[in-house]
Amino acid sequence: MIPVMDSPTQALSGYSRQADPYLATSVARVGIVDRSRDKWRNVVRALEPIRRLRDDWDGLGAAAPSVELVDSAIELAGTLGRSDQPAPTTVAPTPASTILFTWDGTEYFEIEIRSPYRAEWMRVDESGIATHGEFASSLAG
Amino acid sequence: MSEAAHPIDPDEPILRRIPIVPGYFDPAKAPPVQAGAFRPNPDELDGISFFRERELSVSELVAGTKRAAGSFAVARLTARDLLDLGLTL
Repeated sequence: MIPVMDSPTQALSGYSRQADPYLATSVARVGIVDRSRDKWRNVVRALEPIRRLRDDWDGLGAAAPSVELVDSAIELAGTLGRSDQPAPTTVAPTPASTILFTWDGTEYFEIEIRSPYRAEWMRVDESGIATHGEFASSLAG
Repeated sequence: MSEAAHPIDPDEPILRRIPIVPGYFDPAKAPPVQAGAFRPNPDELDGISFFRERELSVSELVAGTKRAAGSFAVARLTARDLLDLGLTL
């Protein structure tokens, strides 16, 4: 059963309490933890061109993420940045019209914003075992 | 031409079109090609697609989209690059 959480920060803090904290172990080991506001500003900066994408941005017919989706991704970035989480390694639109934040390290962690203010996360641990969850902001429709 | 008619040689150049979009190709990063460039599309359930340069040139590949010039980069690999990763073609 996928846990449903009320907010991104609750999802991440809950996640950190439940398991060997990804954010404090695997990411730290590979030395890519950077909680600086500059990194988070770069995340928001990367989302701006994503907001301007048009349909067929990948040349294979993908629809552009909606403005509302990009806005909610920016809001999520702001929430995570303010809660002292490390910035993602990459930010990217997907051909499914969603937005993906990924953290690459010994372990892998991703958050996929699938609709405005709703997201799914996946963690793949060092042995390749994946766990999934989802969360939503109170702003989700 | 089918792959059966012309089996893929390990030294054969293969191409993948990459949108110049955050997470796919970022000229400011080293290397500029990002992981998203090789993430499967939703309809790619058993692998990802490459083009064989012997059948489609780089210019034809870039021209095969309505997007503006400069919207895409093209990665050229050899089949061997994928085989060396343990992937099948």
